[in-house]
Amino acid sequence: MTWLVWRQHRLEALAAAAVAAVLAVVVTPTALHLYQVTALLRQGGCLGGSPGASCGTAMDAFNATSHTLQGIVPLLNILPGLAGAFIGAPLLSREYEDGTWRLAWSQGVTRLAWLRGQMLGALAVTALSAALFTAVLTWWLSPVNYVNGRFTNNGFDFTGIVPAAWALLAFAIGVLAGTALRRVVPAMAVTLAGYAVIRFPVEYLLRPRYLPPVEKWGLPFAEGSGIARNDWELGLGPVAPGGHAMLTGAQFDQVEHTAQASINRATASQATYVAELNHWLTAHGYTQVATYQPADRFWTFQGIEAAICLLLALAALAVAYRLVSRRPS
Amino acid sequence: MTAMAGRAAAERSAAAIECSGLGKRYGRTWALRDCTLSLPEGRVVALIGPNGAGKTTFLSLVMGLAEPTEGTVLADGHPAGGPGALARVAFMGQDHPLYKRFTVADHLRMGCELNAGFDLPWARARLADLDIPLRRPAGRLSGGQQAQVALTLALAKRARVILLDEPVASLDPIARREVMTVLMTRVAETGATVVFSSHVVAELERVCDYLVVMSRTQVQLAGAADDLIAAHARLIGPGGAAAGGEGAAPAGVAAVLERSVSDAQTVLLARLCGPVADPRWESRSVTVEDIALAYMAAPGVRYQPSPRLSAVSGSGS
Repeated sequence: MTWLVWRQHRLEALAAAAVAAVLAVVVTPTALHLYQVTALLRQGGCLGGSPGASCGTAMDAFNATSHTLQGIVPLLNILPGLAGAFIGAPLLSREYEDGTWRLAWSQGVTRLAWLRGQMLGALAVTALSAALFTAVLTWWLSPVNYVNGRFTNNGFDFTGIVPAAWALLAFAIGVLAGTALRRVVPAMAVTLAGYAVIRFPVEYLLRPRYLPPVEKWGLPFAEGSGIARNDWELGLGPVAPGGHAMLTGAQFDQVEHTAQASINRATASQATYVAELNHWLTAHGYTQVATYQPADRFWTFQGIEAAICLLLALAALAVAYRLVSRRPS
Repeated sequence: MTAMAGRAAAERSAAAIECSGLGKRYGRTWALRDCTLSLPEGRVVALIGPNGAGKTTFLSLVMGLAEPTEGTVLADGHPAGGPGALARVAFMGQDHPLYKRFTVADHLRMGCELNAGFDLPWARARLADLDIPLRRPAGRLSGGQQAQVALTLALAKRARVILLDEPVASLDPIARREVMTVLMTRVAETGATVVFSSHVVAELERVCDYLVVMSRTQVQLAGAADDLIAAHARLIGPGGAAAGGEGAAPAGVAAVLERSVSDAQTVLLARLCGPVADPRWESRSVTVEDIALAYMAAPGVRYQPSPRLSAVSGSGS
């Protein structure tokens, strides 16, 4: 059985390895550049409290590259979906489409034993491919994660166990779609759609709420949010007196306008102006709140998201297994 | 352990395939109904009938590829589709499915990996005889070669029951002969039972010693070739007005399958229930092909002579 599974899926495994290798080659120049720039930032103490003189240039160089990456890297979130479409979806649909299920299921191995072998083998190929891609991407993005923290969408999506968990979920969706539809191309399309339908809400709605965010209160015009560089900032804004309602931009503009009336703008320097403004706002009960997930929750969040993916994957595979065992044609 | 269980099962039932009240419905359409059959061991069974008669459904049920809607089916004494039956039953599907990207050698390797008793030397020798290159992907073989590879896989399994769905449909006449010879040799060597389906009736005589005719999703005729030949005859008697009109037949005839009346003579193909003593009628023997064709042309007539099944065999006329 092991031999058969390897023989049937070795093409996908080799293709995944080849694509990972190509990706590694493509990202090497950017990665080397980022590693260099990050080394400069580190030497200059640019990320600490007292940045050196050379930090401006280094930071600009870093930001330029990192900014380009912000646009490109999220596209790689399609990779788990592709694993589902190319490894999961054809697993049974190709057997049905080519009629080879009759060949496979008339050998001396029961259909369910055959199915378990196929599922486990293809699952292993998917997991190993995902690990390979994660290794390449983690290496590539680690300078960016060093500066911005890995607890950002890009850092989180391509580090640790979450990428592999998504790949396994997409694989399971693919197996289920292929079993139900029995046609390769429709199953692939449904797999990609199903992956997207689950992925977006989990990433944008659930992930920030796996644990209740921490709040940090401060002055409305404080320098920065007051949370650490590696924390995941979810929100930052002025809060009305009473500490319940966040103010919208327009509302705060109005408040600021009122405050300005009582401050003599012309005589105050910028620093004293901000101090007086803060003084006025604090006196009238205005504050600022930053909500964030602390950096030390990174692995907890990885674990929670991986568990969600793996539970859904298990459910999809169980349904596919039942379909094969109960609905022979 | 399994071998002993197999022997015990074989003693319990001498039938290679035993099914009772077997039926399969897809949606609202019945593909097979009310199939009660007992096919004896060590035979070459021809399963004949027009397209849509239920032949493929029957074979799929015996292999366990389809689940019966009603009734039961045992293959070599084991419930179809279970581990016991899977080890004892081989199957070649219609259109001889193969993995297109697998080479012929890969298919043989698969046969070895998935079947305990796979006869690799025999399979290699047969494919070498047929000049089929082991290193070629199955997708690049001709249709006939693919059929031969699929057939070799099924036969090399050393199964007790070998089910072949239209095995010769894509073969030229010479290859058909070769295949039929291989089947008969394999049965003689291993004592296995071969059931092959066909909508072609030619050359049955040389090949099969048991005949099952299906029509309209039901078993119409089932019996050993010798018994069927003994029970049927072509009768030639008086023609024209002397024929006695529609339905007239001499005593000893149980059912008339074919009738052609001319002024000079009447020719019947009939099933007999006793000797035809009437001196005006001359009796000639028929072939299995004649019988198969006659039943296919008269789908309303059913006949299953096995005594065990007398309760369900249809009335003769």
